[in-house]
Amino acid sequence: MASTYPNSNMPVPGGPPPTNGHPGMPPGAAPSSTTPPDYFTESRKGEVNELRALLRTFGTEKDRNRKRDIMKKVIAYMTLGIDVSRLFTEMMLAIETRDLVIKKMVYLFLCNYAETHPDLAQMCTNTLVKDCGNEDPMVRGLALRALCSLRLPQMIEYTSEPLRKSLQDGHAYVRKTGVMGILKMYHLNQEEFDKASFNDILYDMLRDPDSSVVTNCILVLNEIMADSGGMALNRAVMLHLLNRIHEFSEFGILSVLDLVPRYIPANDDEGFQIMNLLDPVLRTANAGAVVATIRAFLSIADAVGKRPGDDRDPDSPTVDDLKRQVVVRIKAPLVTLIASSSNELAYVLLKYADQLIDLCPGIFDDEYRQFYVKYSDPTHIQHSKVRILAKLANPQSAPDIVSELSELVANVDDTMGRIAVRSMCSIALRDSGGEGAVESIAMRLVEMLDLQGIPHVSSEAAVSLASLVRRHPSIASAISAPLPRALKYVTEQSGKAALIFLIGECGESIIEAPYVLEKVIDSYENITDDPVKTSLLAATVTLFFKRPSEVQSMLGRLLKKATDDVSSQDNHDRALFYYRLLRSSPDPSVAKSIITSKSMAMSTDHFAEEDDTELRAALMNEFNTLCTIYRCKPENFIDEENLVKFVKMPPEHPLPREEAAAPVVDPGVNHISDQFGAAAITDALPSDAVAPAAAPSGEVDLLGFGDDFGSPPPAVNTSSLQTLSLKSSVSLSGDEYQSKWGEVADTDAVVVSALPLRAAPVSTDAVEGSLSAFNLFTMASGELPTEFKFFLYCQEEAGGFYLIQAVVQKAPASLSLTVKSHGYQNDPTKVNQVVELIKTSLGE
Amino acid sequence: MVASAILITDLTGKPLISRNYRGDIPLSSAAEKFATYLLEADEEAKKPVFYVDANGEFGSLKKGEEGMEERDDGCGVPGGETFVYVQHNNLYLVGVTCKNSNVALILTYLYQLTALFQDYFSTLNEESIRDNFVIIYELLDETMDHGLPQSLDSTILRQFITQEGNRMADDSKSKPPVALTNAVSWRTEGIKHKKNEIFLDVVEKLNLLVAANGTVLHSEINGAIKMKSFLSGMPELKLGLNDKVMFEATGRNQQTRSGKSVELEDIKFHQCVRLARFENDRTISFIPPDGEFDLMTYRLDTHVKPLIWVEAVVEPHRGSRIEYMIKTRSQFKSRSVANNVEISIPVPPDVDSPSFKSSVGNVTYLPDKDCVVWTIKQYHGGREYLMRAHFGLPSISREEADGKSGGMDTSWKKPIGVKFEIPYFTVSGIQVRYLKIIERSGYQALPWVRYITANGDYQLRMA
Repeated sequence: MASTYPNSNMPVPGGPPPTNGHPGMPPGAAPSSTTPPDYFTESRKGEVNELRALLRTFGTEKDRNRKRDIMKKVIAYMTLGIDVSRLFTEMMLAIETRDLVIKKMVYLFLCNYAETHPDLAQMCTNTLVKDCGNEDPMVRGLALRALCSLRLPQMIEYTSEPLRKSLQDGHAYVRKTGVMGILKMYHLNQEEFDKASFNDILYDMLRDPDSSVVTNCILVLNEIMADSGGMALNRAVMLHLLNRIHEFSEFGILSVLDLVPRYIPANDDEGFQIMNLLDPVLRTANAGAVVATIRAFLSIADAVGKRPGDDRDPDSPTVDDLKRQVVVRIKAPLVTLIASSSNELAYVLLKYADQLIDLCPGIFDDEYRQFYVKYSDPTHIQHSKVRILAKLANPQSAPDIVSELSELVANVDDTMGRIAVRSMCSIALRDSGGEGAVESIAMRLVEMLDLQGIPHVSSEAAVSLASLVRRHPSIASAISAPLPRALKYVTEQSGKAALIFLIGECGESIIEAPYVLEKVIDSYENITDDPVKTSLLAATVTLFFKRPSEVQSMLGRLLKKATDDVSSQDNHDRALFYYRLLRSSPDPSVAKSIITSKSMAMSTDHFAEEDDTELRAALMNEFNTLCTIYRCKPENFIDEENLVKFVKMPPEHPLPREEAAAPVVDPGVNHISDQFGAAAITDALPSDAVAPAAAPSGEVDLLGFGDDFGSPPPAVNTSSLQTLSLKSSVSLSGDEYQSKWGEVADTDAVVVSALPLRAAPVSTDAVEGSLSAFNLFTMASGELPTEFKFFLYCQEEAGGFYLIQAVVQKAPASLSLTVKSHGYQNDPTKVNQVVELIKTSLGE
Repeated sequence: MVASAILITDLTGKPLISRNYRGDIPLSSAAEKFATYLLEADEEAKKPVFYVDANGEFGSLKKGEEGMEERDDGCGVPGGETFVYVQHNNLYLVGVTCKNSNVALILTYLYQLTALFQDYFSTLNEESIRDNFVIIYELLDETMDHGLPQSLDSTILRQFITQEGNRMADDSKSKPPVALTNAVSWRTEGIKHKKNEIFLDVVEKLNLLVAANGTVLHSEINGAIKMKSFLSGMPELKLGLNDKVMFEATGRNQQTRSGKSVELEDIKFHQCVRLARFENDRTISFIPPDGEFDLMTYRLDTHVKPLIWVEAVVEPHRGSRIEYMIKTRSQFKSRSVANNVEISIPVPPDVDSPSFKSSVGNVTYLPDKDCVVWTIKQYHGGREYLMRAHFGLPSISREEADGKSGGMDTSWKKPIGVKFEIPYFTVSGIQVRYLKIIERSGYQALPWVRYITANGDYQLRMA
């Protein structure tokens, strides 16, 4: 406690005399500190009173340093947790000063106590507002920051005006503080905030010449728009920011990088261009930026790669190929960061590396030496490294990795020993070690069984062997010999259960198997652990069919004991089941086939309960956040109101494969991807956005309208359809489409079947492009071997929707349509016009 | 990234100073949670990033995190906070967040904040925190606003946050420096030095891990080019290295063949280096910040011959004595000299009456670290030395006294560690070919270059 004496530690050169009179003053412990007797409280009050007396002399004090010292004392007391709020009035008197240092301290004091003393704080608003107009930009900025940090909802009316002014300030420091102030206002009072409509100003300020202002704009917009996934993105904004990325400070870069994963590139080329542009960021020393770049790359790969079933050029790289290329590219920078970072950061980066290895197995294999455990590593890093090591095993590296792991088995850290054994086991289970690895690992595990001094290792080895025998039954005979011996000294229950299971499985090759089990059965009453009992039952029954004569009598005894044992319902029922099965089946071979069936054998390389494909996919969306560290979905540890969902933007860049949920589930056509399901198609596709998306490289234009994709439809066309006029801009999301489709009964739909076409279209793109020229929009489309399918929609000026399912047969070329009109009565003439329109657009 | 608050606490977790940036978490209870974690969590299970749920439980997410236990996705009560902390001397710097934040970024911020404080107070510890409350508040306010990091560059911040403080308004100096908001954010205009000098240190650290049987498990070089710049104005610098990729690009293949170029595997630069330019033609061009900084770091994953080789033969005689024979060999050119070589050999904790015999250097036994340190002030290349150590062992070993007995020695053997420094030498062979300094005023500047190779994480496991 001595070190907390405010007196002894205060930098008080020639400090005011009163404090020196109390050299033994009690520590200024926080108010929450446990035992502040009244005596101390009293004396603390005394100190505060002395401070007040000092502050009263403040106005007359001439020496600037003395003034500052008084202030520093107040701030120091505040920091130590002493309540100095009683000095509020005196402090406010000091706000009118030309000394910047004193001013800052007063502001700090103000912000600290404003929440608890709102009425007092309100008194000084005027001064703050006045300071916001000070000639010194530093003061303007500081005053504005203080004003916005008061956290007093009733102050909103005073803040919005200075805020607005600050956004046009000549000095960037004030502007950037102002932008942050907007966010503070947003959190304070959303209603007032909405009235002030700052959003548009913020979007405009993304073009501010100063990069730190832009950074703050991005951060603020992201938070304000969190409900819709963050700042709205479109091509122009994204490209503007990316082109300026090298102006940003190392933290500013991150704000832009974090936008990239949410952005859908307009076309493949743009995606690759962004990657090239961001590539240099991998060379910065800021780990945060490097990891953010990795995430951006993976997301672009996801957007521009080819997927099975889409209609890209068959030669273009698939999503998985691209992701592998990305991981190959980022391997070296990531490994460097891990090797050169401090422990805390290394721990975080190892978690990221782990996730990337799961994503693209095999790529990090040749770096396995980086993950060797060092004696000086903290435990959590050692654990992470060993888990990664096991994943890096391939036929070349496995011998090295396995021998490294077996070095770690005898580690003083029990958990480390266990993880090492398990990691070896998982190499064998995944069969990634090449020829002979399984056997050599099994042999090492058998040796570990005999490590009597280290009970947890021998037990863990037994558990691992049990898993191994299920995966590779062939090794059973090789490992059987030491099992009976091991049963004597393996003490942990899980290990015991595993050994008993193994003895049952390897019954043929262990001569003394029945006698070993018999001993266990005879001491059945002493077994406390349920899994041990369960495996004893299973093992004895299995062994019975292998060595009936020797086992028969002990099986009887066991079943008797187990059925009498009511401590565990499960075991009791099992025993009863075995008993009835054996007694009732007329033919023993039936019972045998049931019991000795290979149901325990594994055909895959992991246990069903370890299957975490879904979790991994969810985690990939949240790469570079806490989720990766915890291996948990965000909703498990983040409050709902703080969750930010991941929304890809902009909506006008739907990639060809991006198929929204369609009304009719047709697995052959629709590869519905959840994360795109919510993407709304708002605006009419602007001509520049459509053109690149609709014209992938060198497409043969059989339909003969390729040249005027982008141009607006000839006016004659629309006007000639006198009754039908369609909106050129329709907003409809996948979900809305689906619900509208469902609302119209199938019987009300107009079905037009098998209209012959002159030629079938070459791709869905071509059709979609021409349809959009006629204000017919595509919700989803896909190609099957024999046909194309489209889900289209359009909206009349009057407001009613037409929802159309179109199927184009390839050969012979024909068109079938199902048209549902939503929002008014069926009007056959209008529906016919829609059908005509579609036919026209298909070139008929 | 969003940090709700930043705390600086002592080693028990008691906050010394804190800043609640967003007000979305109760700060005092968060501080208590952190202190509880420090107190209650197992030393071995402590992690630099941890979650405390709304009920104050900190183990709830562990299952998923460990990936060992059966996974239960319903685990954890949402609504708690995540703590991210780094230790520095007798302090913890803690970031607290209740959102799904970017951890790497919070850590980077904390590291840079540490560096910034060190820059201001020269040493950062409990004492210096207590002495500088006011300036720390200023720095915390300037480096982060509403939980979002702003500017952390000490050279810039120093211009308007000084220990002395500024006069305002009537003094033109108090204007926030343009550099704070400038494109060249790391340097201000108008810097003047009497003597224009720049110092360049090429420092290579050798990481090595050798197995007990003598095979090299892992070896790599972590290199850094450190600069200390005292240049006036806005100088443009260009650094030439014997970079293999650049030589090949410019067609200077002869040098490549003669083995004088280096292939740098992965390079990272200070933010002042024009990265696009480097990508194009491998030119390293930059406007340096004033003062000290790391221009670039690089890594080479090559198989290097261990510069200093150590072999240990241990003869334990249970219950009476233990004898060590340590052989060391320097495997670099004989004209180089390694300075201050320290070879530390771990010994059992219960040894007594040490005696040593060595052909060179001093040997001391450090009982508090359970090791013997053999110091050789000057170790020339191509030499070989021998050292013998002899200890008495108590007749009952510690394990036996603890009642543990086993067929195997369960103690995880500490590795032999080596510390050394070899000046005028780089393992990788990297060389500074030129450093061009161009400034408008056309002054002559002196570049000084030093090379040094030192140990990084240099470990040889004992048999």
